[in-house]
This record gives sequence, structure tokens and C-alpha cells, in this order.
Amino acid sequence: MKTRTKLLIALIFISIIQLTFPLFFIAAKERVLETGKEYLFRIQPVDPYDFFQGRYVSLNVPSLTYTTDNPDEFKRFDIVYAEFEQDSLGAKITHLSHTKTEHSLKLKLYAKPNNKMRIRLPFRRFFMEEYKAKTVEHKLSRSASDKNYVHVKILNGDFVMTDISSNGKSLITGKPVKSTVLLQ
Amino acid sequence: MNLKDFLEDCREEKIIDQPTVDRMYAHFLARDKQRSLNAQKQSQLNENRQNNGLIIAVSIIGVLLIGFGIIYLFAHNWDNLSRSTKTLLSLLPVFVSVIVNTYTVVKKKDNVIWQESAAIFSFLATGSMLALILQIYQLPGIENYFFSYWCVLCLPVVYLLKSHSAVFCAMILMLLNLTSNPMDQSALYKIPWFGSLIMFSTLIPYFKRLFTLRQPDTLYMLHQLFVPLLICFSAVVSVSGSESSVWLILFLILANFHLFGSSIFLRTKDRTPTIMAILGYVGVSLSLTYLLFKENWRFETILQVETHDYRLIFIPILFGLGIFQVVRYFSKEKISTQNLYKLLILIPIPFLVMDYSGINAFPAYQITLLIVACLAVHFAQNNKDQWQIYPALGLITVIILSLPFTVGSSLNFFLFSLIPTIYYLIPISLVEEKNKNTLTAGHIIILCFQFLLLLIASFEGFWIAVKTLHQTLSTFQLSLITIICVGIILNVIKMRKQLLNHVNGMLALFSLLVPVLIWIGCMSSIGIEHLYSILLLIIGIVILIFSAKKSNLTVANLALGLIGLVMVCRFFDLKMSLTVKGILFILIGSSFFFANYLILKSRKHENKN
Repeated sequence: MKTRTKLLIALIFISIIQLTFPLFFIAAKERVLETGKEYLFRIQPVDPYDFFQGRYVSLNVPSLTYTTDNPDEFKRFDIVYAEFEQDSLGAKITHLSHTKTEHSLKLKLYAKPNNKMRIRLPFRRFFMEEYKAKTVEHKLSRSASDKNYVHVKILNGDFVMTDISSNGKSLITGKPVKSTVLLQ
Repeated sequence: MNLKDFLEDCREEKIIDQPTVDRMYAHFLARDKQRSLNAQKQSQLNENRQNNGLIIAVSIIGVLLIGFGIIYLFAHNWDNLSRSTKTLLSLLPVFVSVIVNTYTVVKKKDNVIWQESAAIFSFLATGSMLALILQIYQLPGIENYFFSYWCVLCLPVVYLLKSHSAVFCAMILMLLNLTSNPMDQSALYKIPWFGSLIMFSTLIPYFKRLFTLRQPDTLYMLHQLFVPLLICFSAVVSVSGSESSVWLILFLILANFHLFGSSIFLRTKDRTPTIMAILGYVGVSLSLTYLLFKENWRFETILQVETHDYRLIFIPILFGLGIFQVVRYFSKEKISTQNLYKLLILIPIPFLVMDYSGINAFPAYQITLLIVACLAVHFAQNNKDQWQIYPALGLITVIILSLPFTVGSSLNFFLFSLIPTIYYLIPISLVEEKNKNTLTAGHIIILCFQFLLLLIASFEGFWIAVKTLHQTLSTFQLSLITIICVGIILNVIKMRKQLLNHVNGMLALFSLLVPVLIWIGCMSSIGIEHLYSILLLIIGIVILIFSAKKSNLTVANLALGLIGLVMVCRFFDLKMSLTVKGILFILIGSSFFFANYLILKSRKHENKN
């Protein structure tokens, strides 16, 4: 075989990988979007910039607390799975364990485990259009009493953020959100 | 006599006959023509190559700009589009880059411009594609191995397109990859530095080729600098742990690079050090002296490991590699004074062991380093090897500087005054015979430092400040200073011929006088600061007379400047009436004009003769 043919075959192979690699990524995330369960977490935002990925709203999600009787089960920097329950003040952790369940989220324990653990959530950035990000930030920071949420779909430890809403209205599309939990 | 005349002469002397003359001359003409043609071709080729380089550079910059433009365009969001459209759009640049790559491989196989541009475009397209897809699903790149994916997807381009600029892109991505901080790092393969290491190892075939062929020249030089810097920087960024363990890892990496840079594989034919060897040598010296400024090394904490701390694997690996390289080097070369310093990698080990087991290794380390540096200077003087003299001098300087750093004693100023002295007295063996009456720029800088020291010493207030430092040196530190002084004296005895030869020994005498005078100043209880001003004035006048004799205007004005400087300093210091000070200044000012006038006049006089 000539070197050029060899090179060409290698190139085609690499190109296929380059083009299909993101598809796996996309497939996994699409599955979460399709079958994941939606939870709403309260937020307090600011708005910075990422060189590669553009403008985003930094979501200041307050840590959740989890009360347990036996904190010795967990170690610091452990990877754990949390199950949630929705109420009108945002999602709450109902169960924390080392085993994955259908609607659990993968988390890292940054604080030292004790009876009342503070748990940091991995929702930090919400990317959006340059000008929209500024108005969203403005709308969100206007009043502290507003009910601001980030909508997250959760499946098998993985998650996808879908929306940001303020007082039942999506800040991305401007339409009222479908979720019924919020409007109680 | 040209060839034709010579041949004619030969024919007349009946050495050769006419046909031979004709044939020889024809052959000579043909050869001459061919030679000139070849030279022309060569120069054209060189010109082409230069032009090519420019075009390559410009096209690379162009592609970079276009690529960044694409990233910027897409880095804006586009919320109105559906998710599938967004995904398709983000894949578009990769499609284009695949087409460009295929075209390059099929049609422009040997065109460097196409290869480099296609490679860079491929990098940027893949990067923008990944950034966009992560953005669509609201995933921050730093938590999601963004740089790892990017680098892995593009690495094959280095070999497929034989691109050199892609290597730089990949190296930058590997470094950026270390900044990513994914949530789950429980397994080795999930840790960013491990990914970077694996990615770097895929570049090894490229570097092996580059370092064996040593072509292209610029890249060969650049990568000797870039690779060690990249690795050291990565080590600093990614090693978590105590300061001492970071120090040890850096030291071992640099020592390894020095050994590799001077190994049989890389070294030049005339044995001048390669860039990598110099970088390694400087780095090793710096890291050795770093320990001098810390009395508590705390190497006993080196084994205290947190979970997922892998640096302890690297220390033995790097150490073993270093030992292997030393053994390999000395299996082919005889041990001589020129390459003995390669054993440098072994110097810290006994001290580290001592510190680890709780013994205070600091004094032993100081004295060993000093003696090693002195021996290195001694041998390097015999070999006239400036690549060893100056690093060893640097080591001695840092040892001298580290003493005042820990103890505030009145002898500190004396220690400072030793530094310019050693920089003159020790490299004197490098001064060549023909330069024995000239001063190099280095000598003038040394001289300026010495004048500055004397000038500082001539202030009364300075000595009051110095005498308030009450800490006393321990006997050990005093003996260190004694070793340095004895070393300087031995050096003067050893090099006495060269020292007396260079500028009639004036500079050597002055270099010795300055520390001695400052030492007297440090020790004496009565203030002798006026002595320094008087000395400076005398030196100024001596130089002035000397330069007037040689009618050298620059030196004369420098000497006058020195005298003026001393006077200005005294203006703030001495309690004289303003009238006297005024008269003094007028005298100095007019002496400038007078001296210049005299010199110019004597010059004219000489010219007439």
C-alpha cells in the first residue's frame, strides 16, 4: 500500500472519530432531557464571561443541607448520589447514598460529613446569548423576594439544565413555565 | 599569476605540450562555470526558503485569526435556534476542516503552508465544536475535560499532516488541561494531569524525530526550551503537597533535563552546551540555592499523603531516571574534572536523608555547597571553561547573600563587598593575553559596583545604621566567611601572574582593597567614613591623570564625574558653611572645563607632531 493511501485511511478514520465523538455526548444528554425528572433549585445570580464558551449567567445556588444519623458512612471528597423532592421553596435532598438510582444526582462532598451536612450543588453556569445574559441578570437581581429557579433534569446521576425562571416565567423564552410544582 | 599565464609558462618551460594546455584550460573554464551556476542555484534556494518561511508564518497567523473569528461568532449564543440546528451548525467547522485535511493529504502532500494551515484550522474547528456542544447542554468546560477531549481529537493531526505548529497547539492544550477540575477524580485515569501525561507521551515520536534529525533548526532550538519549561510548569501546577516535595520534584526534573541535554543523543560536536543543558543547569543551581534561604526544610513531611496524591510515585521514577542517565553517561566517558559536576544530582540526597531523620542538615549543606562550588571554580579555571566558572560563581554569590538573609549582623556589608571582588578575581583566567590592557563591559560594571559600595560607606549615617545591627554571627557562620576569604586569597596567589598582567594589577589591588577597607569599617569602633571619600577622591585624581596622559576624554570625564559625585554626597553630609560648599562646587565645575581643555590641547599638540 502506498503511504498516501495509508495516510488517507488514517485521516478518514480520525475524521469519523472527530465527527462522531460529540454524538455520544449528545446522545447521553438527550436521554437525560427525554426521560429525566425535573427539579427546581433556588438561585441568586451574577454574570461573567468565558473565553471559549461565551456569556453565561453564574448561578449562585445555595448549598442544601442534609440531616443524617450516621455521618460515618461518608468521607470527605466522596462521590455520592442524592435523591430530591420538590417543594415550593426549591428542591430538597431526601436521601444520600453511594449507590446510583434512577432519579439521583452525582455529587461530591466538599464539606466534612457530620449530622447536618452542607452539600454543594454542581449547577454553576448557564450559558446564553450575550445581550440576554445581561437582562436576565438584571431581572434576577432586582428583588430578593422573587422566586428564582434553575430548572434541572436529572437521570442516573447525570443532569442537564434546561431553563431559568423567575416568578413562574421563563427568562429564556419569556413564556410561563409548564412546571406545576412552582405555582402551588 | 592567473591560470592561463601559468600554463603558458609551463609550456615554454616544456613541462607540458600545447594540446594539454588547451585541454587543461578548457576544463578549468567548464568547472568555473559550473561552480558559479551552483552558487547561484544555492543562493536562489536560500532566498526561496526565506520567502517560504515568511509565507508560512503569515498564513498560520491568518488561519489562527479566522479560526478565532469562528469561535467568537459561535461563542455568542443563539437561543432562537432549535437544539438540532445548533448541533448541526457546531459540527459545520469540523466538516470543513475534514475536507481541507483530505484535500491537503491528497493534493498538497508536500506543501508546508497547506499542511500547517490545515492543522491549525483543524484544531480550532474541533475546539469550537466542542465548546458549542458543551454550551448547548449547559456544561462548563473546566468541569468536563473540555481540553482533554479537544487535544485527543486533534493529536493525530500532528502525524497525519506532519505539522509543527500543531505540536505547539497540543502542548498549550495539555497545559490548559491541568486547570480543569472535574468533580469525580476518584480513579487515576479521571485526573487531569494523568490525561496530560498520556497525551504528551504521544508526542514523543515527534520529538525523537526532531531531536535526531535536528531539522528544522529553529524548532529544534525552540523545543529544547519549550519542553522542559512545559514539564516544569505542569509539575508546579499539578503537584499537590508540601513545599519540600514540590522542590524535590522540580529539582529532579531539571537535573534530568540537564543530563539529557548534555547526553550523547543531543550534544553538539564541539561540546558547547545545548539550550536544554543550560536551562537544566541554571534551574538546578537555582533550586539548590533555594534551600539556603530556608532553615527548616521539613522534608519529614514528604511522606504525609492525602488521598489521590500520586507525587510519591514520581520521586523514585525521576530519581531512577537521573541515576540511569548518569551511569549511562559515565559508562561511555571517563570521569574527569570537566564532567564531574554531572554527579550534582546526588548532592542533596544525604542532606535530604539527614533532614528526614530529624538531624539539622542546614549547616552541613551550606559548607558542602561552598566547598563544591570552590572546587568547581578551581577546576574550571584550569580548563578555562566559562560555562562552569560563571554558574559556580553564581552559587558562591547566593551563598554569600544567604548569610545576611538569616542573620542581621554588622558584617553583612562586608559580605556584600566581597561579591564584585570575586567576580573580578575569579574569571581573570578567561582574559586573553591580547586584551590585557583593556577593560571589558563586565569589568566596568564591577568597578561601578565597587565605587557604589565605597560611596555608600562614606556616609556617616550609614555606619550608624549598620552598628545598630546587634545579632552576632555564630562560630559556624564566621568559619564559612573565613573559608570564603581564604578561598579568595588562595585564588589571588594562584592567579597572581594573570592578575598582575591585567592593567598592571591596578584593578586586582583595588578589588582587594575595597573589602579590606569595608571590613575595617565594620570592625572599628571609631568612624572612618572620611577615609572612603578620600580614597575615592584619590582614585578619581589618579584616573584623571592617567587618562590625561593617554588623552582619553571619556575616561577623564568619568573620573571627574566620580570626583563630583563624592563632592555632592559630602554636600548632604559634612557640616561646612554654605560659602565653602559653593566655592567647592564652582571649583569642581570649572575643573571639568579645564581638564577637557587641557586634553584637547594636548591632542592637537600630538596631531601636529
